Amino acid sequence: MSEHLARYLETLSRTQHTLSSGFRALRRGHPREPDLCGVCERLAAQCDDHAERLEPFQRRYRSGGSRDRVFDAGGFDTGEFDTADFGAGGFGAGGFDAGGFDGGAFDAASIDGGGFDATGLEPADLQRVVRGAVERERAVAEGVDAGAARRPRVTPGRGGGDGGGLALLRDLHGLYLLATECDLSWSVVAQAARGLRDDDLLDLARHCAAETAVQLLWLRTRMRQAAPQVLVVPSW
Amino acid sequence: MLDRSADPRGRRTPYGPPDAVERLAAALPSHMRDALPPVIRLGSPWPVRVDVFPEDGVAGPDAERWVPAVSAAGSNGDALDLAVRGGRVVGVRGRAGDRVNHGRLDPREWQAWQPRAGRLSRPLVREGGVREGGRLVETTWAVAMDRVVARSRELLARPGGWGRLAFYTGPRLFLEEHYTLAVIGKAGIGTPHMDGDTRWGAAAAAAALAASFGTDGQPGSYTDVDHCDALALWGHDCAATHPVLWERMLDRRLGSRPPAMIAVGPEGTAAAREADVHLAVRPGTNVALLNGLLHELIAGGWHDAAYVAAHTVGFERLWRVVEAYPAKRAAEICAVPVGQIEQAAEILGAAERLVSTVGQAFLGSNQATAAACQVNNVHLLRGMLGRPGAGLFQLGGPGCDALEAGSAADLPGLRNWADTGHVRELADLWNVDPAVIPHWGPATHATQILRYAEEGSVGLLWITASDPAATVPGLDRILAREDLFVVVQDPYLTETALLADVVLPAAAWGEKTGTVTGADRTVHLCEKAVEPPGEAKTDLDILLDYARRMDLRDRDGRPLVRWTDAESAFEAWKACSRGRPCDHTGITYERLRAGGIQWPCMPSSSHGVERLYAGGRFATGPGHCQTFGADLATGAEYGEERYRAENPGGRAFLHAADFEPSPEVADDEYPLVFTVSPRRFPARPARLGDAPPEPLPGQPHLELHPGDAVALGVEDGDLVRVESPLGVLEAVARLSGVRPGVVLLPLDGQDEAVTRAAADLTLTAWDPVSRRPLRTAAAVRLVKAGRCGDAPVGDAPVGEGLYSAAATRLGRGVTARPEVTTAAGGGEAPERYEEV
Repeated sequence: MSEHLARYLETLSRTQHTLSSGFRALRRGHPREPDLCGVCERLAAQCDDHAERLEPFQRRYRSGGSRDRVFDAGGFDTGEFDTADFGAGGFGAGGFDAGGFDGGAFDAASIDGGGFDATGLEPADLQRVVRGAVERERAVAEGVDAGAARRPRVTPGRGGGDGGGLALLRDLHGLYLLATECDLSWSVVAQAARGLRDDDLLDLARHCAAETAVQLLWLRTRMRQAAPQVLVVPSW
Repeated sequence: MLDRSADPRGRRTPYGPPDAVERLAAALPSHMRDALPPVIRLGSPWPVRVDVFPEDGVAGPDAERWVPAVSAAGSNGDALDLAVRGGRVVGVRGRAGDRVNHGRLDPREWQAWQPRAGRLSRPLVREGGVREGGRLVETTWAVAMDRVVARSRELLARPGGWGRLAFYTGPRLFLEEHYTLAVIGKAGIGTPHMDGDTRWGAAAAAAALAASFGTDGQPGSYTDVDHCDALALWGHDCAATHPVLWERMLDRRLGSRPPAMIAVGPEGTAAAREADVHLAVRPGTNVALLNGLLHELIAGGWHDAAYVAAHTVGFERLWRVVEAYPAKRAAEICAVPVGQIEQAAEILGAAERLVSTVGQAFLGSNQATAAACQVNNVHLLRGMLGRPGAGLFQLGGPGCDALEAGSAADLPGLRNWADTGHVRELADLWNVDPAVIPHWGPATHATQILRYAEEGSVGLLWITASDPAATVPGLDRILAREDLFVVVQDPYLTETALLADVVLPAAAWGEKTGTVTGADRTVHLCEKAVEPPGEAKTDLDILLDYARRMDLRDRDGRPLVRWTDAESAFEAWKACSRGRPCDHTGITYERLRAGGIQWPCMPSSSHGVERLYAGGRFATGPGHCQTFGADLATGAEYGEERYRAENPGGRAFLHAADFEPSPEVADDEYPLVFTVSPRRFPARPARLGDAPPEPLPGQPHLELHPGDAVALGVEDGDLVRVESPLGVLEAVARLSGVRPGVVLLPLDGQDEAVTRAAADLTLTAWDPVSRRPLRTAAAVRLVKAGRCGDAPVGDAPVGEGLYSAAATRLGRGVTARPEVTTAAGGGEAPERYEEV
């Protein structure tokens, strides 16, 4: 039974990594926004830290232990959790379970049909940015000189130099949805921790949920600041 | 007469603290103090010393008349009189009876009143249409204003018109002018794009005060220096920035029962030499130091537990954070002896009356607002507010008038943009639709305004009494954009003015009347002494003319701006300030002619409230406060709901902040500190018809100390490379007398690529609460890149590797080739970066 939790934690950990790359990509994608420099790096580090701190729990629940037997007896195993939407529905089949963001969580999941796409904000662009960043992070991790491998092609642009405010707004929007996913997952993990009487995991979930809440607030604040000018005052 | 050649600061006038009776009297509320004899009521034992700076050969009595004015040299708010003879200002004299300076003058005062070259006397417009060939030519007011108005109307008619006009102000406007501009911008045009020079200094101070106490406003009074038994200067080079305040401190130190003094900041300042304990912390580690001190104060039981319980919220949270900073750990982070931190904590803990001043080394450094909030915490923990001798000053720089009156980012009267009640008050006062007043988010900060101008969504930028092109890197390129209409209103033909489409000649101080507020909330009247040259007009008249020509009207079709001169503008401002913490309703020009008055001042009182927050009552009520709070680390806004849930109800906030290392902190990997010397004003005064100044084709060179050079094996003339996590810069080494451990890049005569690269290298942080970039210094390492003689000369191609700095942050320890290069030709069309 702990398999479920282990899998859930694994997915959460992956989403945290994706969010972390997303924050870094935001910074790189908008080099001319000075206020992003410190905050994005800080939040990215926070996300990495969350994922790192999850690792021991992933191990704990993957290998199974005395706790699991107690938990098994609870009958959770046969519950809806497995059969319901999580496994079969858009959530599992979509990006979240199948490799996080990279696999296309963003457009595959309900987001696609939801407000994000309907507003006509071209979510594909965000994916490009985030996926590019994820690949770059990977390349760095594998020891490839990311900078040399991907020399930016410079094309003349208008005004700001990085696609302007609309791209920023869109990227923030995407990150907000990702962060919401993490936020939700942490509250679910907290519930599981309560069921398991695992105080360590509960502490972690509380700590990370609080930090994720600030991340959401920041994203919201930044979007609120950018929105009026970007959407109402077009530049040409 | 004062012999200034002997000692620029003049004769010392030592004094001791007032006795207990006088201290008791000083603590009484103002209406009760009115009943006391004047000596006790208003007295400060600081002896009067009248400084006179006459023009050569003209002593005081030769003046035809003396005109009251305010210090033009600093933000202290010293009162002085101008000597006028033959239609000229021929000297300045400190005003003996004034509560701020007791007759003293800033040593720079006379210099500040000297006319500079490049004075404008007629309006200028750019002829030729195209920016390239366009030249500024003299014209009439009608032509110049018509152009401004035509462009404004055209932009307002476009979709989202309100967002196409932006206003940028400097500190040389009077309160009346700031308020008039605020009404034009916020009620007439409805633009959120209003900010100014206050962003680079005073904004962090204001943000910290509002975060802790509910609204902006210096809690203390200068007379607290008379009463105090301990002085703490937090990153404040007081002698350089507030010389008159410094003299008051020194005189106390020389008198009987002198106060102890703590100074935090770099070596070499007068405060560092004078202090009993000098903490030369590593740059950028202020929060760690303060957390260590707060830890000591709480762990040692020195905090006032009753005051904390009754008048603050957040003590538990604060302790959870500072618990991790015992003196030993703070000492390690800050690179100061642990004994010094303990000694400082002892002084802070034992003080009965503590005065703190916070200066640029805090407010312009890593975690600016967070660090300033920790100083507020010291005062809150010890109950050091609102009584004689317990004073706190966040001295970010001049410009409190702009912040109060609303010509900068805040709403007028220290109102809260997120509070619908405050917005309705303003809408009723101005009789406009509340929807016009931009309150859907915090007003746009200066950096963002310039970004919008760069992107092309702002089409008109009106710069008043400021020269940002001389200080903001890369601004000249933005201002030169074809589709940006730049209006510059200034007494002088500044670097910014040379890039303008319309230049409006303004009157300087001494040529116009208005009020100025000093750092301890003292309002002074600065009167007109002489006529402005030629056709130059006062800033107020220019703004009133614009409002008239734009035909700005209220909901009932009456003119929006109904005042006509400085005094009626002041009356209009009084109505706006009513009921707010900066209530001016008791102040009139008549009363100001008798001397400075502190705000808040109600009509019932003969003088203003000397100290804010007496009795621990703070301006944090949800309907009263200026902000609903933000996360100190990210700037994320908490919002009204959460604020109400926290229920501060008149209690102050103890904000906790963890120390965050920044790239400005040197360590083993990046042992040197890279810094730049700012571009100075052009040596030659700008003349009419000049093209924007071409940068001299100077070769970038880095100055370093011979001792460091030996250790690195570098000789004079070698090509060296400076590396930081933020980027790389190459230049020729010059051995010079800079401090050991410092690498200096003089920006004089450098082209934009170098300037930008240096700016990117030193853009170490962003203060998320006061929303300003912090460009100070960066930890770097230096490697030799070429032998003496290999250095590229003049026409050598500027390679990608040479002075390129990545705008991307790559994290500590990663020195990657920057992806975005700032190579030569930085003035090209803006670029879009894409992955290949």
